[in-house]
Amino acid sequence: MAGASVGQRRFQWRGGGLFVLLSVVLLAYLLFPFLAFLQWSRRSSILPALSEPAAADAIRHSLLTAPVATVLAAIFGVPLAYVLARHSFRGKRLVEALVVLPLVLPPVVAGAMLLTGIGQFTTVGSFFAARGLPLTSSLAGIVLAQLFVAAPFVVITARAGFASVDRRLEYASRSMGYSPVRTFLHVSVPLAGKMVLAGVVLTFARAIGEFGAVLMIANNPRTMPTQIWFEFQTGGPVATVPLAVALLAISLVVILLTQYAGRLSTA
Amino acid sequence: MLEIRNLTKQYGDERAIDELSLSIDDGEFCTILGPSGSGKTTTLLSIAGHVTPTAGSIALEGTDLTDVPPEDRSLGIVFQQDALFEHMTARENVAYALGPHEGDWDRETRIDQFLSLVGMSDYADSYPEQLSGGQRRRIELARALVYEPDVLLLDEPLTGLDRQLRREMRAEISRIHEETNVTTVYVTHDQSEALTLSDRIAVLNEGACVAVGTPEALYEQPPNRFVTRFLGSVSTLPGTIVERSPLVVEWAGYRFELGAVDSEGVGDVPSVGDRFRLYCRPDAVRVEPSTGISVDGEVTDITHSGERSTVTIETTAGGQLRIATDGFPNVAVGETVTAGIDPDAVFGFAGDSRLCVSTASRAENATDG
Repeated sequence: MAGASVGQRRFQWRGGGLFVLLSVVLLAYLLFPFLAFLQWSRRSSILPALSEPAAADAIRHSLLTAPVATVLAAIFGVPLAYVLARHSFRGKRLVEALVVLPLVLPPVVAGAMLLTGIGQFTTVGSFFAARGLPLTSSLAGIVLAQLFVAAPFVVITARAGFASVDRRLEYASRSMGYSPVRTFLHVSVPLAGKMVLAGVVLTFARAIGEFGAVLMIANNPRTMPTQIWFEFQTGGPVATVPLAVALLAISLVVILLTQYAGRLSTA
Repeated sequence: MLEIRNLTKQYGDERAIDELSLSIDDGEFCTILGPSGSGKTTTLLSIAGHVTPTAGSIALEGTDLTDVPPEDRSLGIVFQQDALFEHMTARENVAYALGPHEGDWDRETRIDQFLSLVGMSDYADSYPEQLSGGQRRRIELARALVYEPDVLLLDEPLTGLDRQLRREMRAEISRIHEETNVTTVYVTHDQSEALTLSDRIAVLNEGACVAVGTPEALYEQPPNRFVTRFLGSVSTLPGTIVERSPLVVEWAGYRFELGAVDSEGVGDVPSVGDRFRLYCRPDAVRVEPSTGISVDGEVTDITHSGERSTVTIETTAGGQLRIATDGFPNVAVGETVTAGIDPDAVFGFAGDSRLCVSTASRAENATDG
């Protein structure tokens, strides 16, 4: 493709050096903490620390909650993204603002807002608690907190993906005899697939990494980020290393896997 | 029969289609021709059900389609530029289209049959990005036809192809229509496509249908000024009215009798001394004096298209005259020539009615106007 070869051409144009220099500065700054942190990791024994009951529980809780929050965000968020990409309606701007709002809220505020909505002593919270499903200090509560802060990522990214799909492709599919839902599943989603997938990855990354909102909803049970905070308070930065490395590893594996899956689906 | 009645589509204050009515017979190749923004594509999308009309109805074989969703209309559609599914091979594209349809056919055989109909059997397993523009268009045709739709809708399907390929695809579309005999609605702004392909042409202007007829009828007897100008090229001869009833117009020393003007439906009643435009097609003019009307002029422009050329002369009587010649003409720019016009091919308009020249004769006494 002509476009790709132009895009990937080596920097031959004048001023290219400046772009490289500026890029390197940021990359170095991003890399530095990682290197420093991994220095520390040599001094702590990671695997034994992770098998401690508290750490193992935190890993288990994170691996349970973040995927559930991601799936929920995708189930409800992808259709919303499609509606926003395809339809105009009264109050659309308001809906769009609402979708972005959780991104700009400080997570602690998001947590506080959630507590006023679904906290133990609220109507909703007590309703569920009375039926054996407490929404605070529970895995369900953690999922809700993660969903609140992470769902916008899949909505915003998938929306851009759907907007890039030519409407005529959907028209063609409809005229061939496919219902709107089947057209959405067979044509729109595969064609917007990369973007939808990117949105899902971002959502997962945010969900598994969320600290503030999760801590407000549930001091216990702990997820990896809240456990890391606890370790830090008792043992300083070094104590955070094992769980932090584990969190990094999980995120990295997920990102690489989805990139690989994305490449497979478009091969 | 596909019947469009009083179709109207309003976008805010703008009327994209204005009470359009058109009937298309089974097996007919009907072209909707019009300049950009005339409502052609909106009409097509309304037929397909992708645009909901503000008013009016669309019926197929007597069944009202207006509230039927697109997937239940049994229409094939090919869009301007590419609408192939990039994530499927050519064959998968066609198979996808056949997907929801049932019939007493073997699926695989039928897909093969339609790939072969469009001459793409060898490219079945290629992805769209590996195909050329013409090949992609062929797959789109196969995809739109494989489930035997009642009507095939084509929205400027040759846009974006180069000249040679356009000509080739035009012949292909013609051949495929002959082989399948599917009722076809073809949307284009290109008059030569319309004239070549169609059984009938509906000319659209500003959302309204201003003429319907065979290519020959519309070209030779255009019913109004818009069609005259839009379909084919035409020369405008600035005449002057010398008699009102019957109407007689003088130009270049000739009197053109145009018969009685029906004052009904005539916006401005013409009066003696008014300007009156006469029209004639380039093929009704020769670069040689004739028994008809001879006018002198200077050649100002010559355009060649190989087998045909167009010579433009600035007449001494006023007005540019375009002349079609076979092959390259024997004249040069700047040269003064005498051209002959076939008087039967000269016409004019009074309001909405078309007036033909009944007799043309030399004016004995030049009037002062």
